[in-house]
Amino acid sequence: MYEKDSEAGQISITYENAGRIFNSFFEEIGRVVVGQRKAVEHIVISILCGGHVLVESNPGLGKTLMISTISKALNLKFSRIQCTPDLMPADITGTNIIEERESGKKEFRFEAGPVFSNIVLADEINRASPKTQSALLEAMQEKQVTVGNDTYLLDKPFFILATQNPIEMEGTYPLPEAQLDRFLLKILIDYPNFEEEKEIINRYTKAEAPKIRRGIDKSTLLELQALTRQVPISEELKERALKIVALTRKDKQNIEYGASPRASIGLILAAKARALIKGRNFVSQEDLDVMAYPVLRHRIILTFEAERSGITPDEAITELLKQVNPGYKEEKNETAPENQKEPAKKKLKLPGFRK
Amino acid sequence: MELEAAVNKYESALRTYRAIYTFLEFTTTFFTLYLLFTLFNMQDIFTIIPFFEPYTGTKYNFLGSELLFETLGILLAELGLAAIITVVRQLRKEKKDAIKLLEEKYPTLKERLSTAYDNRNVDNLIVKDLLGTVKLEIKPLTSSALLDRRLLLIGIGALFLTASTSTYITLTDYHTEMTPKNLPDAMENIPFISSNKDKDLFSLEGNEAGNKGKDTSEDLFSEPAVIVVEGTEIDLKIPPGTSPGLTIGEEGEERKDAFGQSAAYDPEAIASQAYYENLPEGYQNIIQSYFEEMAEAE
Repeated sequence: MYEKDSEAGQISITYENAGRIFNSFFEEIGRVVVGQRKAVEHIVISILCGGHVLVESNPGLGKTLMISTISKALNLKFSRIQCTPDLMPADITGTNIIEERESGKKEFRFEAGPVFSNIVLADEINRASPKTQSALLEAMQEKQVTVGNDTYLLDKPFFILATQNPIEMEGTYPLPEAQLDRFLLKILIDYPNFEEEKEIINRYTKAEAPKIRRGIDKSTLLELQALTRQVPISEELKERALKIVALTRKDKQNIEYGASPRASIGLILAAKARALIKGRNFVSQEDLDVMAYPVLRHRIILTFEAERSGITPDEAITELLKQVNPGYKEEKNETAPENQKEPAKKKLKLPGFRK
Repeated sequence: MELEAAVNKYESALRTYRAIYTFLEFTTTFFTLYLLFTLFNMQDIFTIIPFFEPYTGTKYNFLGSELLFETLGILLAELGLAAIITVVRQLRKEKKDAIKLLEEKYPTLKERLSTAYDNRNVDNLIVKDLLGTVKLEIKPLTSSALLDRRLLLIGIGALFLTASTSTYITLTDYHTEMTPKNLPDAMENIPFISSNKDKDLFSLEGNEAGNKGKDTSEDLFSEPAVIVVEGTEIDLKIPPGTSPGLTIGEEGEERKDAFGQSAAYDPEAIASQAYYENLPEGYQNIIQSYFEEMAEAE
C-alpha cells in the first residue's frame, strides 16, 4: 500500500489507514458519548470537509458534551462561546486594547477573541443577537476576522460547531438563511434508547466521569482533510448529486426555496468524507443518499401547504431521493430521529427578537 | 490507459453481441411473420387491392427461380415489418454500457469500475490504489463475460423453432382456409360494424326465436308486421287512430276566445340592415335559372 508517496504530496495516510484511524477515534468518543454514533460521524465528516456544523436537539441530550469531547479527542485548540443576547461581536472576534509599554508609550494591541481557535463551540447560537451572529459569518466563510482596519487569518483547521435548541423560542434570534447556508451540515440528535440511557446513568453516576484520550492530532487531521478531497467520485454520482440539489429548486409542491450550489459542493464533499470514514476509496450512492439529509435539511424552506400538512424537511428530501432513484428506501437510522420529525413548524423564519 | 483499453475492448465485444441479438430477433420476427402470413394466405391481399391487382400472377426471375408477384410482395412486406418491429423493440430497450453490465454481473466491481474509469486521468493516492485494484480484478474477465448466454439461447431456440415450422409449412403447403378475401364477409358478420346493422338490431329478437328470413321490418302502418317472441306471435301493426297524426272522428273542444284587437301596426317601412346591392359572385345565374325553372314548372 502507499504508505509514503512523494509524488502525490506529503500525504502519508492511506484510505485504509484512515478507516482504521476513524474506527478507533469513534471508539474513543464512545467512551464518553453513549450512542449517537451517526451524529458523531457527521460531525467528523464536517470537520474533514472543513465545514461547520449546526447541531439541534432538545435540551439535555448531550450535544455540548459530544462536541467538547470531539474537540478534546482531536487534540486541537478549543474554545467555547456561550451565546447570550448581550454577547457583543468583539466578545467573539477580539478587540484592540490600549497597552502601555515600559517606556510609557501607549499603543493598541489586538487581544484575540475565542474565535481564534481550531474548534469553536458556539453554544445556543440562536440566543446571540443578529449583530453577533453575523460577526461569525466572515470567520465561517473566509476563515478570517477583520477588526478595525486589520484582518487576521484564523488558524487551520477551523470549525464552528454551533448548537441550538428547537424549543424555547422565547428570547432567541433565528439564524438567517444566509448564515444557515454557511453550515455544511445540520445534525439532529435523537433521544437515547432505553439501553443507551441506562449506560449513560451507569457512566455518569460514578465517582469519576469517563475521560477521553487524545486521538487525532492537528497534522494528521490536515492530512485527512487533504485525503478527503482526493476520494474519487464517478460522473454518474456527481450528476446524481446535482439532480438532487436541482430538484429542491423544482419541487414547488413541498419546497418554496431550494438549495444553493454551495449545497451541491457540500453534498459531494460530505459523501467523499463519509467514504473515507468507512475506509472506502470511492464514493458510493449510499454516501450521497445518507448525506443528502444533513446537507439539505437546513437549506430548504418548505411551502406553507407542506408545513400545514405536517411534512418535515427530511420527508421532502426523501421524496426528492425517490424521484432520483425510484427504488430508494429511507434508512431510519441515517435520517432524522423520530422526535425531530416536526422542525418544519418550528422553522425559524421570522427575523427579529421574539417575546 | 490500461483500463481505458480494457473498457474499449468490452464495449467492442458488447456491440458485436448486441448485433447478434438483434439479428436473431430480426430473423425470428421474420419467420414468425412468414408463418402467420402463409397460414392465413396473406398473399391473396394483392388480389383485393385494386392498385396491385393488375400485377398479380406476374412472374419474376429471382436468383434463378421464378417468383410470383404475390410471393415476392409478401416476402418484402414481411421483411419490412420485421425490420420495423425489431427497430422499435431495440429503441425501447434500455441499453447499458459495458461498465454497467460488468458492475451488475460482478458486485465487487459495483461503483468502483465506473469511478475508476471516470477518474482514470486523475493522479492521486486514492485513485492510484483504486485503479490498481480494479485493473487486477478485471484482468481475468474475458469479453465473453458480457455475453448474455440466456438471451442468446432463447434467441437461437426461437429462431430454430420458427425456421423449422416455416420450412415445414412451405414444404407441405399447409395453410388455413382463411384468406384476406374472406375479410369483407367476416366484416359483415361483426355486429355494429356490418353494413346491415340496422336490420340486425331490429330483427334480433325474431332471429333468436327462429324467425329467420321473415321480413319483420315492414311499415307498421300498412301491412301486418309480426314478430315471434318466445314462440308467441305478436302483431306489431298499429291500428289507425293510435298514431301521433290526426285524430279522425273526435271533435276538439271548441274555444271561444274573445276577439282581441291587435295593436296598431306602424306602416312605416323599416330598411333592412343587411341589404346587399350586388349578389355574391357566381350566384346571379344560379338564382336566375332557379326562378326560370320555377316559372316553367308552373
